[in-house]
Amino acid sequence: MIFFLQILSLWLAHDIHLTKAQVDVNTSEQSVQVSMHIFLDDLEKVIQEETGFTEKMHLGTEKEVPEGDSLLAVYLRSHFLITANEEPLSFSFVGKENSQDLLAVWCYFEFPLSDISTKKLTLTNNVLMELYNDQQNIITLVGPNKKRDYLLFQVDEATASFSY
Amino acid sequence: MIQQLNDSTSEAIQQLNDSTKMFNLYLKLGFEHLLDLAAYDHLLFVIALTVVYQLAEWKKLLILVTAFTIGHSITLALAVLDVIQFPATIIEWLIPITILLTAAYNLWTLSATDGDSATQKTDLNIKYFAALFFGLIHGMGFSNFLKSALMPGEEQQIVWQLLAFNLGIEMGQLVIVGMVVLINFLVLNFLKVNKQNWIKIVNTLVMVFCIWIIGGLLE
Repeated sequence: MIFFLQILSLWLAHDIHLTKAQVDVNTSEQSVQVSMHIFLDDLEKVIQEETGFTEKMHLGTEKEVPEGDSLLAVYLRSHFLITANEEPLSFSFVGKENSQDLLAVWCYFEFPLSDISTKKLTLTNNVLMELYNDQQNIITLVGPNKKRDYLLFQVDEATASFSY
Repeated sequence: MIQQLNDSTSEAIQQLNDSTKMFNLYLKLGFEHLLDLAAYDHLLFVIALTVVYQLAEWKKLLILVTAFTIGHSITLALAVLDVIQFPATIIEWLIPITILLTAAYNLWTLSATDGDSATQKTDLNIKYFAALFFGLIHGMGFSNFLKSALMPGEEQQIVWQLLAFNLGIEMGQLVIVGMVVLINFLVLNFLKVNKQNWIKIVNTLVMVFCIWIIGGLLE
């Protein structure tokens, strides 16, 4: 019954083309840490389109295919980029967990930041944008000095900078 | 002492600066949410609500838009503050129905609008009430979007996020109302289209789009 309701709500859920993420610049751990909320149905669709994986992935369920996390990492690596001083930072996937309503996942990943004197990061976030041209991705950035910024990424402006 | 004062002042300035950035983000989200052509349901409703009016009737327009705004502000706030919860799937269905009813009512009363003043008055009262009531339903729809845009850990900012988003929606609404009034003016005065025919055309189109939305839900 719950499974049926879940399928039904997935089906009827209004198309909200929005992801949200918090990005923390953690100088003591020398890393930029990201937690990003993405709707599962869109995520699965876009990963299949991009990687050519044809099997149903069942992301975020008990039936998830073994390649689930690595496919997700491959996708995020090429759609969520950070550069510091013009140098691209390397992406590393940490893990994921389901959102409370099971319609989305929180993806956790980080970018090691060797030079902690960095004062400006440039972010590109075009997650899901090849799927919907009204896709909006929002980010709350928190600097080491707790300075915050709030950024909106859209198809025509998928890159933004954060100075702290 | 002075150093301390300086520090706390600059901290306060930074916080204010950060809050302004957050406010701008949610304002933008609200504005673009209403004008999003891919999710055009709210946009259609504002068109259906205002298309029968011209600039000379700006007072009626103002009251009508205000009634809709009061309606959706109430449910948006109640849902986002978790006072009440609405099942998204039902709202999904109710929204196109509110648009369909508004367009159908416009067509239905087309002959009555040129009638005596008593009929016109009843017509307006029904419309104000409908705008308020349908506003309540659309507010629930807005809340589903805003809720998915709120970050955990920012709960203490919620009133500002809500206010900014709602203000963004108002601005989007005003853009639509302005465009409807302008297009109405051009079509009726320059293209010399008969007003009754124009209302028939627009409302029929609105109904077609609604049936389209409902068809998408049935799929």
